[in-house]
Amino acid sequence: MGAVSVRGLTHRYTTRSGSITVLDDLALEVGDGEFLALVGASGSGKTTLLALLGGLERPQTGTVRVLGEELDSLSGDGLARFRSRTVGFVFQHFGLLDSLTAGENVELACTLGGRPAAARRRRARELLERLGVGDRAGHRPVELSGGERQRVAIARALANEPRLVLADEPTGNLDRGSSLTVADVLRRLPDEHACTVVLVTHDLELAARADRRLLLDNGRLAPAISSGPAAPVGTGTGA
Amino acid sequence: MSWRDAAVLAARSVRRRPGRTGLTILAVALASALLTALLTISGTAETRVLDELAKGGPLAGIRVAAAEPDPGQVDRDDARPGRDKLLDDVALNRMRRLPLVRTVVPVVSARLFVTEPQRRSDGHPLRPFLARAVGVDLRRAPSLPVSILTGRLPGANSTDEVAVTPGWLERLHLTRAQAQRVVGDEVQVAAGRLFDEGDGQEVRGRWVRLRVVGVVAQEAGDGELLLPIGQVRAARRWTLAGAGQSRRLGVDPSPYNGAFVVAEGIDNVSRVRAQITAIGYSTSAPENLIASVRRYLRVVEIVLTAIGAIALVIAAIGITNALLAAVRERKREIGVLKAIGARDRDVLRVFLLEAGVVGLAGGILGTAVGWLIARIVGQTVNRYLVGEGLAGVRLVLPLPVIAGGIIGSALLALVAGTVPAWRAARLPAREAVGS
Amino acid sequence: MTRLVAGLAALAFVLANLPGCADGRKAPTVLPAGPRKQRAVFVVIGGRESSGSGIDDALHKAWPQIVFGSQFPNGTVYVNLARNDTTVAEAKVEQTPLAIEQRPTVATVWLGEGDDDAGTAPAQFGSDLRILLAELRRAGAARVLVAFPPPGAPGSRFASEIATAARSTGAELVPLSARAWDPHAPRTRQATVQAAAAAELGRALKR
Repeated sequence: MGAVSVRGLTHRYTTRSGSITVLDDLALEVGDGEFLALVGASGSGKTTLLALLGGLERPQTGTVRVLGEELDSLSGDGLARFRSRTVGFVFQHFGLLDSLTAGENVELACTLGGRPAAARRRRARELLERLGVGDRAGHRPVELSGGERQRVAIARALANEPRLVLADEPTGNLDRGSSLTVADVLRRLPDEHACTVVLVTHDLELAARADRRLLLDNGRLAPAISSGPAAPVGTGTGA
Repeated sequence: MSWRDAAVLAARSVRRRPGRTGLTILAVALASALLTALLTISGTAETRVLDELAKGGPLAGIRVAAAEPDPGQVDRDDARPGRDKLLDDVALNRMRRLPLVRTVVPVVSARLFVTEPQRRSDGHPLRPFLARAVGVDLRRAPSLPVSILTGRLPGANSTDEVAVTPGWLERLHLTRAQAQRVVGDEVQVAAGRLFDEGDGQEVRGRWVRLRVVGVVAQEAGDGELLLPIGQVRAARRWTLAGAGQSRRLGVDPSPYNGAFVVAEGIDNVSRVRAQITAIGYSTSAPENLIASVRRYLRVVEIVLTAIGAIALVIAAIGITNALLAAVRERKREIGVLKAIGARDRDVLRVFLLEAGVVGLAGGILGTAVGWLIARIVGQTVNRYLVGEGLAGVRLVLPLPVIAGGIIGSALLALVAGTVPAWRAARLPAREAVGS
Repeated sequence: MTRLVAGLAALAFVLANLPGCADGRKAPTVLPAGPRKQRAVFVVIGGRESSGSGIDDALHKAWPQIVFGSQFPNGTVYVNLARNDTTVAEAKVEQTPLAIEQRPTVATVWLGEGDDDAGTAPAQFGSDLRILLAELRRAGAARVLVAFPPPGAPGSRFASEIATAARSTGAELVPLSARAWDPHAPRTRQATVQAAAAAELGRALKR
């Protein structure tokens, strides 16, 4: 069984000027431990797809199964539990809480994942060390560089040992050096943390590191994009 | 997420925006300060006014005279008594058995000849004079309209102590502020008794020397001296055993010169007065005055409370506004919280607690500031009162006002924070990845 | 609104005109009643020398007032029953019952001048005085002081009867000073006698 299985997924947004179909009868299978990159033009629905995979939004039509669990069947609290324990999110904007230190941001995820108080700090320290920002645990996000912040965000995503990590333009706000570091970290996640990674990006260098790349176009995934390093795809500036 | 975790998050969030939080706390503090100050001041004013009206005794007190009621006067606060009528134990026992009567304290009085002190405070000689002494059971002083200006009351069984009244101070040319100067003075008094001497009559005295132990304001009866009832009774016995026409020495033959009847609560004064009138005695009580003053005090309290309440509503709107702005600003943060596993109720808790923290801090600060304002007002008023030779006020911050100020502000903030918190809780998790 | 303003004005008026004193008022605190003490009761039986008549400012200068003021504690009851020109026989029926009514603890008896004028026989004087003193003692007077006139003073002719009556009833004799009596200066005599008597009776009471 794959990590992610999407069938007949259609998603529309209603605006004043009419209805826009962002995902159109989309199907997707992601293997367990796979590192998948989704690329596509801006507004192509990459982020919506990611939100649906992560249970941030409910599918309008079709089914989304993650690790065998059909998300639409989960209650609000069930989805929250799913988000805290099964999925880890990495955002372009890092999504760190300014009022908390780096360590506390990771601990907060542990708290929401139901870890006992004593284990939270240990887990946060361990993850920050592994991501090379252990010495920044006591600093607030504003005191960190972009690369450091994103590594802290990745540590937070990993706090509850998720089986699926969803990253939305994780290098979108980083300089080249930091992008490379973050790309390395993400690339190693399936091996080091036994998880599947689905990445939305328009960073071709990052996409090139994926096991597989899919192009989202007109609400559908383009079929035959080969595995392994490939030619640049997509020209969008973001999801 | 536990309440504790939510509280930590809320506290951090409050601290992250010190400017806005400070201003919101200040709004709540100002409102609760205003309310605390107004309630403290109005409460103190009410206590002071009612205390003064009661002269230290219960407001539900009724003075009964040893006289028949004058039909035209029965409803007046200061009813003029009718013809003299003996007031004895039988009559007092009838009053004690009346419904809604808490206690009946008899009052006796006697006229005493005073030969000491011999000088006024300014050194002028003071000729011997007649003064009226009031005798009551001093163990029951708390039920009587007696309040101490300085010193203390005589012991209930004492034979050598006396308290004097402001009338005594006037005689010595002393002001109330100088009341302390008479405490410790020795007073020599005599009850007179008429003896037939040949073709005329002669007065002989039954003398006692007493020490002044206090100055009291008392309305139990007209008199410059307040004594234990036994002392006044002994003086009366001496006088009344004399040759006829004892009334010429100012002593009424009624066993009691009056009584102080305390009703079960101020609202029953009218009914008890009517019952005593029916028994056949004249009564007086400041019930109409107290009722009208209480009405005005109630109006003042309502007005002041309304001002404070309006301030609190404004503060509540401020809290709602600040939190709504925070929710708008923090949409993405709320989305992220949900994306990493926060449930709707976790977000609700965080925002409610933020409101609560603001309310609690504002309440504590406001109550303290309010008390300070009330004190400053109290001191200013006291300076004026003391300058005018009047009694100062003692501010009392009632526990309900403190508790109400703090808890009320926190609750108000929680109510004010409900809509923003609910909005925050209902924000979709999708906001985390929204552009 | 007008009524509210009027009410506030009335309240301000009441507040401003309330009596009081600078240190404020306190509700009365009741002292523990304490045991009823046996109070001293001082009665004076006698004639002109004790009644205070003929003395300027008798309320302060008569010897009984001086003794009452100086020898007894506060709270003592003092009753002066003395009457001008009274004889011992009259005092026995008029003053003694009133004295007994007061339950005296201390009594002074100074008689003789009235009996001088009335020409009472010494034996009768002695008999009446003994009865009078005995009644006072029976009434509970722990101390009965009897003035003992010096030679030449009014009542001195009853000296031996006075001494005998006192001895037989347990009363105490208080010899009065002879120097106080100056037959040539009656006005000063009164004041001097009063002062001397006060001193002597006072000394006796101290014993």
